[in-house]
Amino acid sequence: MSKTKFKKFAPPLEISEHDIIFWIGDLNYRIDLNIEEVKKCIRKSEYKSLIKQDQLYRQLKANSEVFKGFEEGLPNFDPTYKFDAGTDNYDTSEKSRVPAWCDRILWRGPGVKQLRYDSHPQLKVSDHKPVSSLFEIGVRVIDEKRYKRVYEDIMKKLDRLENDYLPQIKIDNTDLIFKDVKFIEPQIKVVTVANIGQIPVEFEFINKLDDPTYCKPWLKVTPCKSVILSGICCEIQIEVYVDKMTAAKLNSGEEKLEDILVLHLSGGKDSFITVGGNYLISTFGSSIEALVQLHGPIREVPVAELIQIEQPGSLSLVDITQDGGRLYMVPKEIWKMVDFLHKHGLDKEELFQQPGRNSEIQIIRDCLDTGKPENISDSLSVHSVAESLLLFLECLAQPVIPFEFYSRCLSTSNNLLLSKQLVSGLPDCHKNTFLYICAFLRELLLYADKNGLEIKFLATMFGECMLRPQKQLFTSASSREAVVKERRSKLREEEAKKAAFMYHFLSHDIELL
Amino acid sequence: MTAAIKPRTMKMALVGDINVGKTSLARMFIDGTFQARYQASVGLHFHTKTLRDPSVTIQLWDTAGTERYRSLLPHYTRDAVCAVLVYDISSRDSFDNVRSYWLDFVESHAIPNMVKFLVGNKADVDTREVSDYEAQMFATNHDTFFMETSAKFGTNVDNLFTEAAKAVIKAIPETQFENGGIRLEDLHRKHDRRCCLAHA
Repeated sequence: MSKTKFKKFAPPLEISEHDIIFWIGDLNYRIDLNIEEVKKCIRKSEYKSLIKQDQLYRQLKANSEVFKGFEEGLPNFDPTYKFDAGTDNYDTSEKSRVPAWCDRILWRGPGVKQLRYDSHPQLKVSDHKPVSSLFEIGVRVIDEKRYKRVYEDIMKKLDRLENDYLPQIKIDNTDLIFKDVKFIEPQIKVVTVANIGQIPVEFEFINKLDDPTYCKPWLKVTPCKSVILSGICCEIQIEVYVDKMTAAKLNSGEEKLEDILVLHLSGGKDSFITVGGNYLISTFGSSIEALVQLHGPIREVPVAELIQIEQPGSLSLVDITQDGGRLYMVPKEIWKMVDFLHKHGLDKEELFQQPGRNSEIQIIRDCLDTGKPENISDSLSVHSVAESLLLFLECLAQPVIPFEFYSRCLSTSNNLLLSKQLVSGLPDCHKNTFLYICAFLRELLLYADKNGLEIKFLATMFGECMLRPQKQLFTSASSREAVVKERRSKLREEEAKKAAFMYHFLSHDIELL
Repeated sequence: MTAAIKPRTMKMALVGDINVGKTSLARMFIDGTFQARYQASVGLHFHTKTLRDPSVTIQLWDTAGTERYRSLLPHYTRDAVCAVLVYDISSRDSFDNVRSYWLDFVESHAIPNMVKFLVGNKADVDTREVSDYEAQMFATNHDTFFMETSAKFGTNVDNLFTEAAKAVIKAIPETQFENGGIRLEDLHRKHDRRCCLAHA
């Protein structure tokens, strides 16, 4: 019985776990008197003297372990056992049992009031007389009003708990302005993210809608994902760095220094960090077309005008020579660098091999962009100027050999005549620049005994700078190994063809058709 | 216990111009507070609140109204079952923008049957520029519910979300809703916790 469980409750309740228990049954307790004494009492209805000798009554009084906590009313009726079935006569058999209150009704629990406790001697079927009892009991009911209040309070608490346990952060600056960003000069700002919630926060910068990356290519965020413990701050470095990959689009106005970073909290909200600023247009990343139109330093030209001359075909749209203007044969910046190398570098070893100094390249950039000083200072290292020249060529919005000629270049690379034809078909400013650089390289080769330069090396190096395909090669960094391998071999093949193309123009002074 | 232990969760998004009171509505609804000082929302916040009748948990997304973030909003509204389009009754512009921009915006990034609720907030202000008649007409013509609220005094705020929840239950059966793009994996965990707490 102790294992009985009422399954309709969740969790199931055992008997003993109920508020009120009624125990009804033939409990088989006897009266500790002899038969004569019992029968005498029965005749006089002296139930009180009988009950005092009742085993159950005594047990309950003594607070024993049996029926602990149960109560019983005093029976005000004859003992209900044992009768000759069908009669009102106590047992007349040989055994002649002593009459007893075997059949009892007990209860346990609060608020129970016994109104009646009876036996029913008129029923004669059994050797017992049935007993019955009427109770008035208090039953707990739900006070709908208060129940609703409590329910709502709990729901509110749960909601609050849920909201409290959402990740919470505070960002000290969500609007970053980078002023006067210069080419290849990084600017860094630090954003402090404080975890002001009660749980660790896992954050990550996520892609905006369908963008392939979470930020623009000129932007770098470290760390871009991390975990911050409650009460701790995390510093995030936001770096703007315009390099050869991104300069051209910023110059032409196609791209702006504007981005929104989405800082996503795992299981929580998203915050936006706006990045803005202005880029100081540089001759690095301009187009040859624009540069040959520019007489003064680029920094002194209004941005709108620059954007206009940066548009493809700007040269053919307006004939600036009509207004007394003139076009440079080659961009003056290229001339300045070549001139410097011509003066100081013809006999320098490891030209174009030794890296330049970053700080010096920045000085050269400023010199070319502002015209101050007018020429590249003689005190700078030739290697810095040489690297600047390579960088300059790599950055051109359109390579010296424009994109549209690229694949033709590769296919004609083994044929001198076709290569010559191709070059003569280039737009004037591109053709001039190409021939100008080739002439300079040929001159360098005249000093090969001193500078140690080899024609193949120069052909390869300048082939890479002046012939570029339209698509950037670095785009999908996540490619599989096989794809990477295939791409590498293709790259090597293209590199050889570019070098072969250049080789024609470095080995001879070619008269164009 | 008569109440469902695991109420359905529905995602609702507040959209509208800046300074019409989206965050204030959310605040008042979630924890019954009001802050008079205006502070632009940067980013996307959400809070949850469980209603008793109907028994649902509302996950309320408060969006940034600032124009420069608009391109990012579809990311947050496209799986909402209800869009709350908020304007300020004392700003004609904010109402005109609901008509010319926001309604289109939510409709073009919506799940089928999404419930739309037009809300004229700041009903307590006496420099009204948009009549409730005009707004009601507009709402009726565009199959949109309508209500005026005051986030400052809490007028109609609970009512708004209760009505919205009822409308969602009617318009979007739970089965469809389950597939409606709500991040169920996030929610399940929370529900489990909730069950435990409810018994404790």
